[in-house]
Amino acid sequence: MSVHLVVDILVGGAILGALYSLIAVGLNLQYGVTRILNVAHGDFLMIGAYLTYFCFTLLKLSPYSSILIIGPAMFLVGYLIYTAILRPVVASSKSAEEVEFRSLLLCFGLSFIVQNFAMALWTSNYRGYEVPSLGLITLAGVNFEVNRIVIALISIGINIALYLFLRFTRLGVAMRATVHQPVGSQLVGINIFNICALSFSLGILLAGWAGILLSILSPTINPFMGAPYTMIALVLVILAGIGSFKGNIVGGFIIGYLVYVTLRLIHPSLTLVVVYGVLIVVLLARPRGLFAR
Amino acid sequence: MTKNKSSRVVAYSPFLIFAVLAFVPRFAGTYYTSLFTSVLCWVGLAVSWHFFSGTTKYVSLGTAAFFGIGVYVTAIFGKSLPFVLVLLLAAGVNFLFAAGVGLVTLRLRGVYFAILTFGLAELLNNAVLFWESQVTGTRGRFVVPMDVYYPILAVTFIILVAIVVLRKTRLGLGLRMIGENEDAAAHYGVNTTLYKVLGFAISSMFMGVMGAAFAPRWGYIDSGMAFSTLYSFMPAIMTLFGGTGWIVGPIAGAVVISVLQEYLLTTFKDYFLIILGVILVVVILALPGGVTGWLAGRQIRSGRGRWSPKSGEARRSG
Repeated sequence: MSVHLVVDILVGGAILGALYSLIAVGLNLQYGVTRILNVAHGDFLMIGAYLTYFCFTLLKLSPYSSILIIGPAMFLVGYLIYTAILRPVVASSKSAEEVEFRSLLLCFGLSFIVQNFAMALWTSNYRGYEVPSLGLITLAGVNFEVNRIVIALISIGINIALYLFLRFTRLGVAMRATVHQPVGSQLVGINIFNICALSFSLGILLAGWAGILLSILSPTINPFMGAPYTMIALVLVILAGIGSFKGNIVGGFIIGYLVYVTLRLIHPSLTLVVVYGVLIVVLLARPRGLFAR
Repeated sequence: MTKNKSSRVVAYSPFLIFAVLAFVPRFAGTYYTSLFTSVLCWVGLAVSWHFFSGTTKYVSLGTAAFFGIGVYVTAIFGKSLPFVLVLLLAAGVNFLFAAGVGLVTLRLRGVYFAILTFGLAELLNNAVLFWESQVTGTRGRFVVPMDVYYPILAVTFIILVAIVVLRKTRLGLGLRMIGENEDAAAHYGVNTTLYKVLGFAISSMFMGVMGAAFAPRWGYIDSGMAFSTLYSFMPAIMTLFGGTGWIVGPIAGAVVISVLQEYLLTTFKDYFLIILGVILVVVILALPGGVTGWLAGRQIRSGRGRWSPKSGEARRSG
């Protein structure tokens, strides 16, 4: 193994890892607070990627500045979806198991709606745009696009901002309380319906942002791109442990490195096999996650 | 006296229906025979899905994986083995594979099972693509084409009879109890892990046999066709549409939705999955007991009729 390859893997894996932790953090928050397993997560990521594409090609907006527009738009979409179809299900179910059963199937149906809606609107052609290059950076003789480094830094930045939000704001503390004590948090006066709606919308917003960054990294936007990312996010939620922020970052890097090594050294179509391998090992060894107490 | 007679008619009517169905290829044209083949295939898949996921509320999102394994068993062994042996082989392979999946996830409560099954079809799709590109250097496979109406009819019949019988056994009752309240089931001495794994393996075995029986309909298959997510989605929407409370639910749901799918495919090709998705959302929101549960609820409220589903699920929705 040459030094170049080692550096490439070290940096490339870290970039993927940072992005994966951003992809999963929204799902982890959503599932932790609302107990709704949103299997359409990757499809909202796809919507984010398309919106970035159209902002860039139609409005000549740089992908980085579209973060400011697409974020609120996705939040609104999430809020509408939650109040229109998920909240009635939660309100009319008689047990936690029933909520999980019905909302899971609802999200499964939602994923088909979103995918085929995107296909009807935008066809199944692959799309991509020429990201304005920020130049190259050379690390130990290996060239990296500055864009890729920036993506990783933004992912980490969003993760940190979210951490601070959950740690130090009243709303964030209420969300964490709902993750750990759904009944107790109601007893201390937290309006759990509002918290659930906000958490769900925040999750969709984070999926949209992840979609923006993903579209910069690889220009292969199409209506069915989401499912593999849903899978990665789901595995990462299990690996991290529900509601575990540390686990999400560490797990993101573990999967990022494994996937990148598979991509570079073995074969691209085996990445999902690797992700599944991780899932099975975790289920057998630590089903409650890396940092389970 | 009359009640006995009518209940005997009800008990034998499935046999009568299948006897009539056996004459379909003789009297109906090619188009209708092909439509009946699809409908029967969906009935078999929906009933199999309902047997485990509809009853226990452990949602399997991976029907396509088991269907696809069955398709590939036929594609690989169809030329060298008699068809009945191919079907049995598909049953065995799927039973063992599903038991493995179940042993990893069904020891645990909650979403682990849904998560593992979510990407299963895509995983197998990728694995087959890898194998074909790296080892055999091919893309897809030829299957010896064959008219599959009678094999599908026979397989559907066997699945229906087996599941009707199984639902009355300790296993079937245990699965229903797990669906109602898993803690109570465990408390009453149901070995929940064993029952869940066994129930899932049996349900997946049926799906695999269905895939194996269906494969000769295509002369040529590739992994994208065999593991299409449509096969994961349709059994779930059919069962929920029909109602999870009793076995008539998935059967009625499969018949209605597959005929509807045929119509939508010819008239709104690009939108048919959107429409089916919307139907699923509406059913979950408005008719938790499905259409048959809703009808039964109306019958009960108006004090007429006896055809109430036996489980509480449908009655609750009324």
